[in-house]
Amino acid sequence: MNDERVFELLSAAADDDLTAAEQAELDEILSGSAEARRLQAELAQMERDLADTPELLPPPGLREQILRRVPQPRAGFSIADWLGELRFGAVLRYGFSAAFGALLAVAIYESQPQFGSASDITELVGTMAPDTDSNKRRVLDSFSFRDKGISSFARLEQRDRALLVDVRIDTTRVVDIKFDFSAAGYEFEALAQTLSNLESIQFSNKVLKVKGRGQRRFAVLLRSPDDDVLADEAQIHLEYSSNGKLLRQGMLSADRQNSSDE
Amino acid sequence: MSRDQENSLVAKCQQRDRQALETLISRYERPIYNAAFRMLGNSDEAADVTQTTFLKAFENIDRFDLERSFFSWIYRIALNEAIDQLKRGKRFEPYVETPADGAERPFERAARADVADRVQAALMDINADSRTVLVLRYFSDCSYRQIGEILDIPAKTVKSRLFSARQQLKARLGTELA
Repeated sequence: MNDERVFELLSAAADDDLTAAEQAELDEILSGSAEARRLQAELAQMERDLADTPELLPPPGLREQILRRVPQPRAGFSIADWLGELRFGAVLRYGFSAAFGALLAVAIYESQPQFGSASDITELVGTMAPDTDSNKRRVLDSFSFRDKGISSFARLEQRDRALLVDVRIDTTRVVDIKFDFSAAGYEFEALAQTLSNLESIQFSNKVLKVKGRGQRRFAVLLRSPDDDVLADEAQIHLEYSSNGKLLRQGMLSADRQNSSDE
Repeated sequence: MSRDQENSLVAKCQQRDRQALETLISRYERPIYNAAFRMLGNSDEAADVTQTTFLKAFENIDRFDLERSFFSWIYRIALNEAIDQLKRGKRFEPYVETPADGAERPFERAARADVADRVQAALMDINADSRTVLVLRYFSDCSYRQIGEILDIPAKTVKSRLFSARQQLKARLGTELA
């Protein structure tokens, strides 16, 4: 018996794509070979396993998110033409245009993703990073994570010779986040958070563990104990878990190509 | 929904009918997300691919030929997006329910996981071409003809790819099937 041929026939049978001659060939093989029948049973089991794999529900809010991002339909008139038809003179027209522009800017600002806006740590409690007015800030990497009831965004920035990890979470359950700096060459120095405190904070030089639920935002400041350590080589490993179950691992790396000065 | 009804909705989308657009998203959100998830094994990436698929589809809706199948067109966009995502390389581990210590080896993990996790782990372990035909056949209920339309390959090639893909998947699932 040729296993390859038997599997070919069984595969076609699974798709109801056997000719009469092929069906007769398969029947003959199956009646005379225990090995062929075993192969048939294995394939049938695989088909059942595939069929038993459940359909998944998309994350809540995905449809609305898509709809928000799909460009609005073009209306049947142009705003420029409409303004041109007004007979209130140039001043009013320009004034209206400016107001429209301002409204558009607000709309664009409001439509930004929840965690996608530029980092502003001034709302955090405590002073912990070099003054952003006098030091150029460089965004090195970012990481976003979304799962059932959990949404999180983390961004790695360079502030002078320090690194700053700006983290936001929005969860309906308690989530543990572990930051491992051991591969970064940097050490934990300080943590600042908004007035909504984290449930717990544990840290050593190389690892920081925090626990939070609801909307939380905090920033972690890291400093190099050694002037020879280059920020560009830093890597920070993140681990999100809930009730002892690992949800996601990720990494913030300073050597990615997408860094940008701000 | 028949093909005529579907293409009527697409024609309305081309006329900037927001309601038609919402109907198409409602119709395809779940199947596209599922196909993307089976290709990528990661819910975040599948959601991103789903979103990008719709955005690209509606961005190019004017160019869609109403003589063709919207179903095949949007699936092709989704699968191309998923394959691009795979090529870009994964930065993060796929979400699989495992103990946090990470000491368990993949085979041991597979032995403990339920059917869905075993199937997904095996899918992630075969090449993208094979995974694509299996996803379309088993998770999107596509016929040879539809798979051929989506991937732009003849039905005969679909048949041979499915044969090869089943062999690969069976080998990955191995003794679990006994």
